Amino acid sequence: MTIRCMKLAILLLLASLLSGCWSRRELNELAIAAALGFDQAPRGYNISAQIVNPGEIAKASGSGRSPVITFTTPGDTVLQGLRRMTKESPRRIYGSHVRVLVLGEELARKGLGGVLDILARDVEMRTDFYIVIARGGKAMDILETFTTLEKIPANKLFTSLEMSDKNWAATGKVTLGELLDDITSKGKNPVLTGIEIKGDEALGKRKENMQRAKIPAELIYSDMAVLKSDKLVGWFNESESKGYNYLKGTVHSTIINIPWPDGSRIGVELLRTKRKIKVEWKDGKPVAHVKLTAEGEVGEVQSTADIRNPFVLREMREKTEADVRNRIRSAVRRAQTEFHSDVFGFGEALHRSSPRKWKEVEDRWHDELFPKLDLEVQVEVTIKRMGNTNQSILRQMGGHS
Amino acid sequence: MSRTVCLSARQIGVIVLLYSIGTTILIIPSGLASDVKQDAWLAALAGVVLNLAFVWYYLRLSRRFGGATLIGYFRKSLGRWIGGVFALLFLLFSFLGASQVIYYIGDFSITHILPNTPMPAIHILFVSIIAMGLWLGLEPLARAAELMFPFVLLMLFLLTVALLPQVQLVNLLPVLESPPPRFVKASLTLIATATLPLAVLLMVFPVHITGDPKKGERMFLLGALIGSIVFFLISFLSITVLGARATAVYLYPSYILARMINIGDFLKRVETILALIWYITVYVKASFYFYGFVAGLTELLGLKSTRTLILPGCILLVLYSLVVYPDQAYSQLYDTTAYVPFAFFSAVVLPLFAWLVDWIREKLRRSSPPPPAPESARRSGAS
Amino acid sequence: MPAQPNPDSIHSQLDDSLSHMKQAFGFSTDLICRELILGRKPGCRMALLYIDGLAQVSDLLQSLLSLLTNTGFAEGAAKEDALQTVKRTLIPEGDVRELERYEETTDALTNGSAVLLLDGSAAALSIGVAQTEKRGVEEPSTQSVIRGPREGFTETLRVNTALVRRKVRNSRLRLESGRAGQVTRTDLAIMYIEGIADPAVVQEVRDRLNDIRIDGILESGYVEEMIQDSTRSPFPTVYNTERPDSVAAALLEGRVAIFVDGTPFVLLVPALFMQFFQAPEDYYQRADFATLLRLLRFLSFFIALLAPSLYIAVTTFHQELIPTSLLISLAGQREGVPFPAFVEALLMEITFEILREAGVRMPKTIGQSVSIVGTLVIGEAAVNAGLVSPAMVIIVSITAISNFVMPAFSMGISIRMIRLVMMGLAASFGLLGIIVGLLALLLHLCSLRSFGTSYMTPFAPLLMSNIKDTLLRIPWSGMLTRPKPAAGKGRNGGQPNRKKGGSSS
Repeated sequence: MTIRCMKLAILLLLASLLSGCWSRRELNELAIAAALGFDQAPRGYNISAQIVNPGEIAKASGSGRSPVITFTTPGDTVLQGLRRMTKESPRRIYGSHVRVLVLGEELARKGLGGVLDILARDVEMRTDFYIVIARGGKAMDILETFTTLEKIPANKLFTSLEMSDKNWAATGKVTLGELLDDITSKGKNPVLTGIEIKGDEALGKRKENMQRAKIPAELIYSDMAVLKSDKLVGWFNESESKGYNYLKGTVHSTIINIPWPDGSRIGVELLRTKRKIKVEWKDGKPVAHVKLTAEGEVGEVQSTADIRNPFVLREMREKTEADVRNRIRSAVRRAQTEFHSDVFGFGEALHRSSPRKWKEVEDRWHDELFPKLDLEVQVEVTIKRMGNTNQSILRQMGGHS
Repeated sequence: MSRTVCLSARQIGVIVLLYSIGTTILIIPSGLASDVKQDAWLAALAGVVLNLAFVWYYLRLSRRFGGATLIGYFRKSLGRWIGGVFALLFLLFSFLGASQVIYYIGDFSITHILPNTPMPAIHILFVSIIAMGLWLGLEPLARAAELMFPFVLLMLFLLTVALLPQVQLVNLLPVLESPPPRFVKASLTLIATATLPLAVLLMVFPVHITGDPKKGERMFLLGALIGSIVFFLISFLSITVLGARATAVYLYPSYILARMINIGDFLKRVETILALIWYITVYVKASFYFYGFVAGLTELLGLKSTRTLILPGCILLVLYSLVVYPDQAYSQLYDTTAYVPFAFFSAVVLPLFAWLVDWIREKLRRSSPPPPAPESARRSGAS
Repeated sequence: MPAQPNPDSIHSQLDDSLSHMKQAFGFSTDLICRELILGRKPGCRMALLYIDGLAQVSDLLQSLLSLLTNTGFAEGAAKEDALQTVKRTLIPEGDVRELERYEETTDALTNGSAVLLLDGSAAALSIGVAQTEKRGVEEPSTQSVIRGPREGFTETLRVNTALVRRKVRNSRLRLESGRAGQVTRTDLAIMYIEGIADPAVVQEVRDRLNDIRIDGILESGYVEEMIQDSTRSPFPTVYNTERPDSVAAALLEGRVAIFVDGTPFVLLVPALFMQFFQAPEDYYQRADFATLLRLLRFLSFFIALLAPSLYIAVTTFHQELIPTSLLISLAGQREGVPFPAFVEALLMEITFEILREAGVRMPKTIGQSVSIVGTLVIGEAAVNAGLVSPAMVIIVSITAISNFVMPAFSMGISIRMIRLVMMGLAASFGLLGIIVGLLALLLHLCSLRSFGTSYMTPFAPLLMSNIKDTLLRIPWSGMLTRPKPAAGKGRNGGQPNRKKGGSSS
């Protein structure tokens, strides 16, 4: 019995040695792509990949070569472009570690459907990278820009999107999984965050961009792009983007500035928002009930208002609620009137509440019914804490008002 | 066989559990989601009940065996020749089942773990440890299953816990949207994949179990119950984490599910580790499927030891598993259409028929004790 | 008395028997024949034979000589009774036996006894005056403990059995002796506790020891190899120890100890997989700490077994598993390394094994220089020269160190062998190869038996009552029952799956 075992083991071992290494690839044979960019080309696409130069990044003291290299090649299909890239790159492009995918605005306006399939299909690709749109520009320009603090620009894109998502409500991190889900859904359309280069674009592509304290060219996130199905149809402004995120329920923390009657401003920090959306069919049109509850904190007081006074606090609260409500309304209105695209998922909510009705209307949802949707927004904010101090400096200076 | 092989009740429970999870959790969430969309978890829940019903049927059936295996029972009840034909049909079922399982593990490996590796290499590798297991015999195999079981449970537990933060119950709504016929179809597919293969275990079950038969039956049932709960859990997670549409689109949604794990940006990219679950369960499933075939054929041909057939059987298995499905599209179509009636015929109808004949004979014998049927004299040589 | 002339019976003529003995030893120079005459007139001739160096005869001679002149003895005694009289009255030693055959006589001589031949008597007396060069009881060098007894076995069988008896003061402690080795005629002894040890296992041990056919046994390793269940398994199915406390503990668990003369290593059977993870110290320390140590050992077991192969698999097949920043760092380290990861790992492993083997064989005084060379060559120079990546050095080192965590050296050897196989599998099939390798390993372990007990007991078959001293070491207050003899005869397992020799029991 054991003899046979040994024979078997030896055979296995021999077989495995004979096999060579079909899918083997050594670490130093890989071109680790940190970011990918797709642009519209006259024929097909321009595919860019930001490749990490590990030797430069790993070592404590780099030898002064560039930490990343960006290749761009045209291709009728994405895969063709990626494979053609090996003409340029000495190593095979490895996509499992892509952090960010940048899509050119022109491509986004023409439709993303074509480029997304490969991302879902290719087993090497994961679904956890973020997708952004190069606002008013090309993805390859974004990828070619050097950044400071993070040696790898893609990392900077990734982390700063995460950070702003956590602390600022006007960007959204959208992963491939969510994007695909939204695109294939009939009752919801996707949005993507935009990115643009601020400053001197040409200078940004030089390595010196990394070496100055005041950066000549910077990658910053701008507002959110609204897609209809897989086509970009327009951009929310900052206020609407915030409104969108309130509705999406992804606001972890944000600042709301409320104007105070004395002309100054008070900043309220919103933490932990929760929202409930219910859509029902009433009198031949959909009605959406949105209820948003949020917990707030007094963040900054520029006025002399007596924030120890419960009535002042109540006023503060009401103004905050109004601010949130208005942003939500404006976002929805813009989507209804201008974009005809339900990016908020009201359609899916209707699907959940009345599946039968949904079956009837699903095909006419975005263009006919969504614009007619009645929105009822109810916002409840509680302001519980005020930070370290319970009175503003201004008030302490100026006595009482 | 030279010495009687005996498995403990606990071992058979563990085997039933791993066996019924087998390929099921790998492929079925996708099929369910494409049939009944977000109601897949309900279909899986219905599957729990159906699963138990069929297991109960198998257990009742096995009580009639009287020290024989399923193959032996066919011949005992239907006579040497008709019983032999039935047995052959059943062996075909277990051989096909084993090939399908091997195909799936090969396809899964190439898709997700080892792209570019030729399929035969993986099949040979995998079949060779199956051969090793069978060569060593049922006892080491059962003991190995017993040892692997805690790891599988641990991994499943980790998978579930790690995915809990990402569960979105909204994905389950609206409930019961799909029409009933689709439910029936989904549940039948599920049963055909998860439960009916358990019939092959009847080659092991009452014969090679030591101790109190009641306890063995209880563990069998318990194993099947936990198996179907695991399966329900995976369907539930697939739907709530990935969403119904994505679940339906991916070939191996539960692997994609494991990819979604991300705890604090630290514990992530662990899917290949969790793939251990699939390999272990598939190994157990393939081994016992194939054991059913080898042991059945040994009994049918009247050979002394199952070992004789292991090597030729394995070569056949490798070859056939390479061609059992020509491509992925075919495999998906076949599994949800032709396979279901085939499985029901082989694993439900055939034994049921044998049971009926056996039952009628017993009735006849009881009503008229004197005439010993001529067949009954002959069939004693079967087992 | 001599009804039939047996060629082997001792001659009654002293001259005949003396020449026979001398011939038997081929006139070896260390065979001393001291002829004495008992009584005065006719005198009774006798001869004292012994092997110089083996027997301590000065005391004996002194007492003999002082009594030889005992007149009352010589005349009165008939020649036939001389032997009995000598035996009863003349010899001060305790261990005196009568021998009738030459074979016994030579045996006695080689054992270190002195043999007294009397003229006119067809028998001889063996007098146990064996002396051995004894090494003192010292601290065992292989299995050292921080807390626990410092005594270790020596090369003398009798000392060793006494060491154990001193720990288990119970008349139920049984000792059976025997010999093996056609040429060396080495003393063996088995020890067990009646009522705790499974009689079937004891019988099996006896049978297998009796089956040993070999010229020489110079160390218990010979016996181990001859009696183990499966010779082709890389895993040890016989446990060896240098510590009397380990043996005593094992006897209390129902095992059988096999002592071999001439080696401080005592064998214990049946040996289970789990046993190789248990150190004697586990039981002398706090239970909770011991449990943590056990878990640590299991972790080290897996590290020692799998670390290089996992590294190979992950870095050459499954880069998607590595966190991005770590991947970039690893890739940076590998820039310029000329070998594939597998070859890199293999080179490092082999280098390490060479160093280790050299370290063991080397005279102790130059050991230090070797370790300096080793660290410099492996650690610094290879990395600086870009031959291996620093990460690989870390992996190989942690593997090597983890290997030494195993309390039983023999398990460490198995791990080293299997590690290489795993590396090969990992290099060609990545994680799938490792999984398949582990499955095969598991199957193999599950198929092993040690003297009828499944090797993986109490995990598989699961024996809940024995789990208390495996992964965990629960406090003594919780260990209320003795470990059950696994796989009792009622079940499948009574039959040891031994191939050679007549199967028995």
